[in-house]
Amino acid sequence: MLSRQILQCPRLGYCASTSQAVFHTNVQNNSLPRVKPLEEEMPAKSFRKTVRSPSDILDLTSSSKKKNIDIIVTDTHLSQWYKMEPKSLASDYLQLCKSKLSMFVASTAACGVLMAPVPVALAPLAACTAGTFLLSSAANACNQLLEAPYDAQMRRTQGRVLVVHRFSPLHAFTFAGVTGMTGISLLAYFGNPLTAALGALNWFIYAGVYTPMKRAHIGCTWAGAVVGAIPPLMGYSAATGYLDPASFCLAAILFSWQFPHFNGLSWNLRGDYSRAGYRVMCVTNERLCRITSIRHSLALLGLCSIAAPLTGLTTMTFAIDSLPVNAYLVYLSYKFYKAPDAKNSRKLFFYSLLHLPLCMLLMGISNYGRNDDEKISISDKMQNAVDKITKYIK
Amino acid sequence: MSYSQSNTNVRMDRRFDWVGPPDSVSKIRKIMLRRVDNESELEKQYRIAREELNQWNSDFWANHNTLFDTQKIHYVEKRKKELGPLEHVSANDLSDFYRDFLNERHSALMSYNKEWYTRNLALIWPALKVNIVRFMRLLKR
Repeated sequence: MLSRQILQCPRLGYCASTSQAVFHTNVQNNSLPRVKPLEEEMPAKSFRKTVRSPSDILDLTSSSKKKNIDIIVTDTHLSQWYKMEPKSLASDYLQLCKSKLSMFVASTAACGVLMAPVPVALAPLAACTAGTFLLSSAANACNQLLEAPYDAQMRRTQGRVLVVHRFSPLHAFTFAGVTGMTGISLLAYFGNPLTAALGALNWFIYAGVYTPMKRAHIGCTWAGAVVGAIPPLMGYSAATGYLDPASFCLAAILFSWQFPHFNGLSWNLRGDYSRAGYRVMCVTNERLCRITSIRHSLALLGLCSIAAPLTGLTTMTFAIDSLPVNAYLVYLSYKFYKAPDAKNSRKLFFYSLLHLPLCMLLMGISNYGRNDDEKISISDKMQNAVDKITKYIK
Repeated sequence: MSYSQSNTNVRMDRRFDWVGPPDSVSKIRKIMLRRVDNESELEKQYRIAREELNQWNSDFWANHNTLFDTQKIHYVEKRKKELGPLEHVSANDLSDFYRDFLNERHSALMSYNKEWYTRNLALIWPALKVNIVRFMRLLKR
């Protein structure tokens, strides 16, 4: 996918995003409709009053001579001080591991297991789902550990457990270590070493490559898309023990899906992202942001309807019934490309959340390779499809 | 916890870890870690290092956020003058501002990021030692 983009867009290279060759937004901006910015983006009128009142300053002078066990704090903010302890350990742990996201990732790994051309065995399926969930939790805990001050700056993330100091960094680090090691061992024991290696690699890429890169370079979104593409590979290899073109097709579908998803999400938060120092596409190169959404939506169309049956991932049924699902995604990406505003980006993001489960469901029911009588050659498959369509038309 | 409702300085129990409200400019919360009477040098250094790291974070972000807000105001005023009375500042103009601001602050943010990572991860090992010391103390009792 990446090489296709580099060929199609000779201006895009991995040079610093300040280079004029990548931008040329002076020309493009005039063709965009003039959209009003969001209310919260415009500077507030009463900005001038940022003088900090003396009551904000902590007074510690009186405790130097006396031996006492108390700290002095002014009363005005007393009710806002609270003890550094988790309110409810379970719910705080779930927040630390970003449980909804981890469950979504675990479901993509389960899809990988189910799409494998072998009979479904319960042990690899359960172990893979649990192992991926645990590894994703570990990666997310590492991410939150490294990003606590940045999360404090953005409205979306300012309530996270490490921002409000519910536990110490050591606690979060231990949590990450324990869940990560448990995940890797589950995958190695019930799956196979390849799956465990992929899991460990994914943890490393998310916590060690994607998280720092978010601040350094616009290519972070591509690294993040790779992180999203590896769980189906993990599932597939847990079931079969190897990786073949069908598994890579599945991974590519997930890779391409990340772009409309992330671009739709991040567009509305550009102000917050810029202030917090994230070098994401929607801030540093908004034309690229819109273009990649539509390019990858078109790529999804090609992947689902051409590559999936060709590599033997699914039957022709999926190629046909995924067409309307992907076509609507292309349509929303196109609208976002033409008129990038709050409404279109939100629609794109929410539809992407529906699009992936729908695709995975359709893929699951059009699974190919498990039964021997399905194994016919590609030209025969195409002939059968053409016959079916002509019969339907008649 | 002993406190009064009056409008004077109040005392907070030093035996617990406290977290304060987010600072209005830097958005970072102030922390105060617990101290025991016979705390060892190791514990004291760890506590001071962690509180200092938090304070340093707060100072950096206070500076950065004020820069962002003032530059945004100047930019919006400049664009308003250029556009004239009839048009309004569009989201695309703000996009230009966001991009330019990030590029300007790139090196400052990169050095902050590097220092934050090294200091944060460097505190993990002392934290482990302190926890072991405290655990031993608990066992002795």
